[in-house]
Amino acid sequence: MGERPTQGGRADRRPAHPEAAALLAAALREESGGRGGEGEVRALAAYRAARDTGAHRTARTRRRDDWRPRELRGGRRTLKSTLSVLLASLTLGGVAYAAIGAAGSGGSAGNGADGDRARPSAAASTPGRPAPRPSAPPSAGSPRPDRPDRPSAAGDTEAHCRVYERLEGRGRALDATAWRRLVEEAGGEKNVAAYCAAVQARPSAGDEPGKGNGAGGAGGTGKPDKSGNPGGSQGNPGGTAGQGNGGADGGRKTGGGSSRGGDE
Amino acid sequence: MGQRGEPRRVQAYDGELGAAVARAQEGDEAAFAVAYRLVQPGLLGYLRGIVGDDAEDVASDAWLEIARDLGRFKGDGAGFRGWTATIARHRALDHLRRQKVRPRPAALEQDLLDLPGQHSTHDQALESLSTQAALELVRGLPRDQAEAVLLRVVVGLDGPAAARVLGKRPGAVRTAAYRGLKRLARQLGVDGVTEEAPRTLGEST
Repeated sequence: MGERPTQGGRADRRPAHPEAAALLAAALREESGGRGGEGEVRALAAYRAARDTGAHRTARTRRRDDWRPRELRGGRRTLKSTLSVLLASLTLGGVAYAAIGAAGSGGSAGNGADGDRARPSAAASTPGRPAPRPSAPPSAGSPRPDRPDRPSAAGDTEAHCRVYERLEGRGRALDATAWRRLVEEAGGEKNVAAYCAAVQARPSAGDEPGKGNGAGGAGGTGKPDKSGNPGGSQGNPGGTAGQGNGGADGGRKTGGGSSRGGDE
Repeated sequence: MGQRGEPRRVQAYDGELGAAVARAQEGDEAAFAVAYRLVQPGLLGYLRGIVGDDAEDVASDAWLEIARDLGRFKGDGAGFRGWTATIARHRALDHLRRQKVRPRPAALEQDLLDLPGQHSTHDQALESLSTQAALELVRGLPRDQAEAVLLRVVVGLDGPAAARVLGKRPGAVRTAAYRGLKRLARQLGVDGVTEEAPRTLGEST
């Protein structure tokens, strides 16, 4: 008889072997046990003492004192949800990190063809600059003097755009989240190329050094290569970004390219 | 025989018990007495199973702690039985540890003298089982089985609550309770299987 709503695991309450259980219960439960006896008197005295000193009001409920059904209990549920939130954040963090990694490593390592392409152009554009990117002096034509280390959200978009172009229109190979976001920002898959072009044109518009550098820099050599590729139809708008991108991209590639050049 | 529903009848009081506990937490002494009378029989039976004749003393100690910490408790009637059983168990284990340090003459011999003979135990089984005989049977079980059986059957806890009291996984406690009851049923001759000589009857704990 379910006097209490059976909640969760509390359902299995009937022991096996009911006859034996009933016999034992009848024999061992002492129904008159301690009624009005010394034990009860002591218990009631202790109760009064605790109540009158306010112990019942101030006492804090420890985990072992919480016997509410599991749905109402704070502890385990919180632990479980904490763990799942932690797991989710780790996963998302990993995705984000991978996206950054993809964008960043594309510049320095990339695939073989890209690396080969980037290196000479970087050497050509800035032959006299050995310093890797982080310590590169902003005056030497660094395209983003206002953002020395960490690109902002717009920077992420740029990075995604660069990866997108480097993938020659196979944009979905971008990490799914990054790709979706890019499509979202562009307002449709078809617009991605144009959107990227616009995004990459933007910094150079207000940035004189970027433009100047881009004109003769990596963008100049890099983009024609791309448009000649079979997948280049979609990557083509990069050509329009060539000037602007040249500045941004060239600056980055310089770092990766020149440090690698130093190894050889 | 109305004994069949006994363990569930214990739980029939859960609503009343939960209300009494709530009132006692508000400061109603009479309600605390009600809760005591509802819980004490099962608690005492459980303690008899693990500490024998010292059960009353241990229960008394447990109730001091229960009365003191009543404000901390959260839960319903069934939860209160689980909570009090946990406290009683801790007091019982303390008691057993103290006993180990300073052993007293074992109560076992006396118990055996009081026991009715094996055969009469069996003969009477279906009528009623004397407390002493039942205790001997339970204490002949391995400790984990004995405790699981007592908590399920005598205190009237459900499986998960018994597991929480014992600090074990519910599956392990369910298995222990099942094995213990199966063995007891065989010894009592109520499972239809030929009774096996209760070899381990004399072993205590």
